[in-house]
Amino acid sequence: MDTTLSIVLIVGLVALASAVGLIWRATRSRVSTPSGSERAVRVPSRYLAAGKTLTLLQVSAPLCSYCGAMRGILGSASTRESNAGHVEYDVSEIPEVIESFTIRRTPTTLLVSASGDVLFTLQGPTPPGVVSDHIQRAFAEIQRRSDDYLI
Amino acid sequence: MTTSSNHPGQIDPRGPRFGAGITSVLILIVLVFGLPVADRPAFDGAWWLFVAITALFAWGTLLGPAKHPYGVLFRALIRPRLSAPTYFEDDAPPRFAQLVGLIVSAVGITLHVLAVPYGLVIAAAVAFLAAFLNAVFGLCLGCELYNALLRLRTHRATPQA
Repeated sequence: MDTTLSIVLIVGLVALASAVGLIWRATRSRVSTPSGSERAVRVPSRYLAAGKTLTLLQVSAPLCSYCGAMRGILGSASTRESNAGHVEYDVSEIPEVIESFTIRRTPTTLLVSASGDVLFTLQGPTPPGVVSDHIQRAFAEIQRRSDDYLI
Repeated sequence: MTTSSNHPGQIDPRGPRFGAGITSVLILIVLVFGLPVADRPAFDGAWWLFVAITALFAWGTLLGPAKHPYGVLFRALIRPRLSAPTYFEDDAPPRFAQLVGLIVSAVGITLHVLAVPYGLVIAAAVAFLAAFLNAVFGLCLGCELYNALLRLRTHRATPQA
């Protein structure tokens, strides 16, 4: 085979691998807010982190490639934010939450206020920056709802 | 319920990624030297390097990623320079990934021995794709396959109502 063609094929292979990796990275996680029916449902208080304004409720499974990574990211985030607590459950431990919020993949993380309202749902392995950003948004939303209540 | 904590007895997930990085570079060398002469299979340097890579896949399959030479290298040279891992992972999925790498490279070696043109470089390209995705993006295709197969087995073993 011609050397130039060989180099073109090798560069093409690296480009293909990079494209696959970038597409995978862009689609592996998704952030959403609760739908209309989900807004009416509250997470029971027994599943929430005691004494915290915000609970990072992680749903994991034994055969889950990225649950360990997500555990590390959420654990670090809750250490930085004193008002946030991280709890982790196996899918079999919280069937009513799985059903109510239609959780179909692991890891999935619910950002839940102390009153049990789900503010954001992070599906898949979510980058640390996105987690931190949505924790701040969740705190702002909790504050806004508190202000509305006072008014 | 569990709270955030580490799981002792498992491996640092950065170890297999480091190993995948070395594997990617070695396979790239195989492709650079093997592709121009791939239409005439010969037992040249690229061939012997690919044999060595295959032997390393066999080592990882039999003894696990922790006892793999790249794992030892990671612990001796890289790990002391990094912060503590935020989590650990079970070594079974990366070990299965080594098995997948072994099967792919063994197919390439067999085709090359049978004088099949491009057999070795096609197998090398497939192995490179998987190793590169693991090293650069943290996507371990072999681990994903392992988890998918286990889920399938668990699903089949669960009695249907």
